[in-house]
Amino acid sequence: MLTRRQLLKTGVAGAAVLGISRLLYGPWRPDAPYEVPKPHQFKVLDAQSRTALAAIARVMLKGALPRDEAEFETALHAAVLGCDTAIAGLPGAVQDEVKELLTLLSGRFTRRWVAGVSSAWSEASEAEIAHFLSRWRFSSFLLLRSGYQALHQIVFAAWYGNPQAWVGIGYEGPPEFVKGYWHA
Amino acid sequence: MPKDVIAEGLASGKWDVRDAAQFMQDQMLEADVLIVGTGAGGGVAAEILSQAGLKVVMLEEGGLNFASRDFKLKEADAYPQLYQESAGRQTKDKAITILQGRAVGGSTTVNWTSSFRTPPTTLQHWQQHYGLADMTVAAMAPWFGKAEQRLNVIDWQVESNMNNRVLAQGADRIGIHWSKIRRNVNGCLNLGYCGMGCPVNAKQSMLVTTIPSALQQGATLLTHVRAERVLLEGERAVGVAGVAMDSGGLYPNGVRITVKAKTVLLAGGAINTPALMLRSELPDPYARIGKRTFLHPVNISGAIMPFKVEGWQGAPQSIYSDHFLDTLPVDGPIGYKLEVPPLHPVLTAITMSGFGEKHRSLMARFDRLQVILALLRDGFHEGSQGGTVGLKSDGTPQLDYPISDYVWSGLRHAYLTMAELQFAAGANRVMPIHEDVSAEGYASWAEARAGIQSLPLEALRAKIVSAHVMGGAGMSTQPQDGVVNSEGRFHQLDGLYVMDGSVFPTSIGANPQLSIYGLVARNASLLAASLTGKQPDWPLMPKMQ
Repeated sequence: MLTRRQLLKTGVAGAAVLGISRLLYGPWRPDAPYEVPKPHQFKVLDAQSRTALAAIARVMLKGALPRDEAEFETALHAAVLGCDTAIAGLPGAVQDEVKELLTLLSGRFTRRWVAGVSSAWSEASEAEIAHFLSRWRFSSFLLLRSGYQALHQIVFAAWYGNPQAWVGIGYEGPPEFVKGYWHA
Repeated sequence: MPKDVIAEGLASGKWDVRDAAQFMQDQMLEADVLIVGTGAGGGVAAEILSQAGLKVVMLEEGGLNFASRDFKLKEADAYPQLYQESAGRQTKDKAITILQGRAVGGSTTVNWTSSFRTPPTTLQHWQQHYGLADMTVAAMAPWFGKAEQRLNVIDWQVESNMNNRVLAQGADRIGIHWSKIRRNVNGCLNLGYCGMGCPVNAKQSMLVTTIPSALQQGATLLTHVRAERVLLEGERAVGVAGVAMDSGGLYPNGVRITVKAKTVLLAGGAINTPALMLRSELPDPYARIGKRTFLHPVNISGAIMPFKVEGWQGAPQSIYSDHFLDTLPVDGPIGYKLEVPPLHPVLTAITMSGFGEKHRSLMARFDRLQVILALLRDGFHEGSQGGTVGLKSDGTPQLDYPISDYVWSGLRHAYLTMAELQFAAGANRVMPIHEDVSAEGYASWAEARAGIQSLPLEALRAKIVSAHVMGGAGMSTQPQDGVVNSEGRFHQLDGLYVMDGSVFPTSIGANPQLSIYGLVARNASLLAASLTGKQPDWPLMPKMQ
């Protein structure tokens, strides 16, 4: 059974692979980071992780994100910010695991060879990302399945924790009268 | 205007409540009894020992959150604020997600109020296999009665919400018995948000009952303190060293807290208590600490009903079926209890499998979603040894709970029962929560039966959760069989007691809060009598209410 140590090992292997890739492909250039209106709002996610998560959230939340283009971008930004808040609220050891996962996803070489996404996250097609998610979801490696589950949990918690996401699911939020209960 | 017992108590100036997140320098306190943890065990013990005239200090890792100020009924706030690891605590391989409280009141602040006495079959098993001769049904009944009286455990007379009614209806139609769940509430408004902290103080959690009462008796409560080590002098526990945490409860703020006490009582819950014992490197000659930790592993079945369910409204749990506990021998194939969960957007969305438009199409029918849970009774059979609590490299706890074939086979059986029941209750579609079940689920019981028979039962394909952690510092008469005796006293040292769900030698086979209240009431009363020479009288109705 695969364990966290093996995740670390994958991370280490990933780093080694990364080193080789630099020799082969020349100086390291990150994928273009996801542009966000106020990057300083982010507590834990760096530009690379935000880019990866935004691409993944776009696919995971398909059908839930608004269709209107301007609203779409605002909503996607809120989702990525929500992921940041969710991750920042985890205990250190768990946060480190999530960050390892995001580092693995955003590294150019590991993105290609571990996630199987050959385009940069900002350019990857919906089909390519969906394929990656499905591959991890049904992988025979427990480790990759846990990676998928972590993404699933973070993205959906971030999205549905936001009252604006409740439109269209028949839920109107907590009862209003409670707000005045103690000060009636 | 309603009065919030916590806000009033704090305002009275009589309570000694200190938030360690605000401390600027190291602190040293003294107590007759130090209690680590303020959940079901710590709360009851704090009240009984304070009433006995002992100086009690309580340490709580979480914060003091209360209804009139903090409980806003939003999952995004409540989970990081009130739960261990933002409600996402997981077993080592991440296959099981565990809901456990972390706040003043512990899990009782966020539980769903279901109140069951320890089932007679469980007590009998403990007598036969762990020598716990003093834990007969007759001997324990008065203690459960006292706890029920203190915490207002009542028959719930309000009509069940639709989510629960479907369980009753389906059970009738497939010919299995069901009953109503008793609840520890007083003035419940039937809102359905118990899991985010009761906004009107109706839930009779430790937060609004025993802890205010202990504070009124002169106990001291320190919040945002993580207990690091039990301090020893020779063969005796003499206190606890802890660290103050930041207000988010995530990082130590550099301040150290030392509490010296004549008696140390551990009540941090069945993951944190064994972890504290392990960090303290307590003598453990038979390597029992952290072993046999049980979870009531839960699998889940969703159904789309032809009518509105709106599972976020109303008392979350009011109906249960013990058919598969009562009709299966306790040491036979693993039995399970059927209940339903409250349905709120975040927990529902992260539980439903799949992504993209398929996931969304399920969420679009959120108001018609009905969900059943099967809670498996683990720990009664050699095929169910439970899990082991260990430590991560940073000293925080980690539970390794491998799911055995014996448990998997019970999970498959439970999927079948739940699907049959939901179709019998009129479901249009049923979806066992498993990655290999399509988002549309099954359209008929026949299809579901065939599909479930061939589901691959593997970690992180089947969604498994838990809200009940038990064991890890189990009771036994013989030191080689457990960690504490039936009175909660640690076998290996003087002055150290465990009074929480860690002491159960198996799972309970029912939601455990009342089992903890009753047993701890007995053991804390025995301890109070031995420390003071007087028999405590509990419950006294506190003067302040």
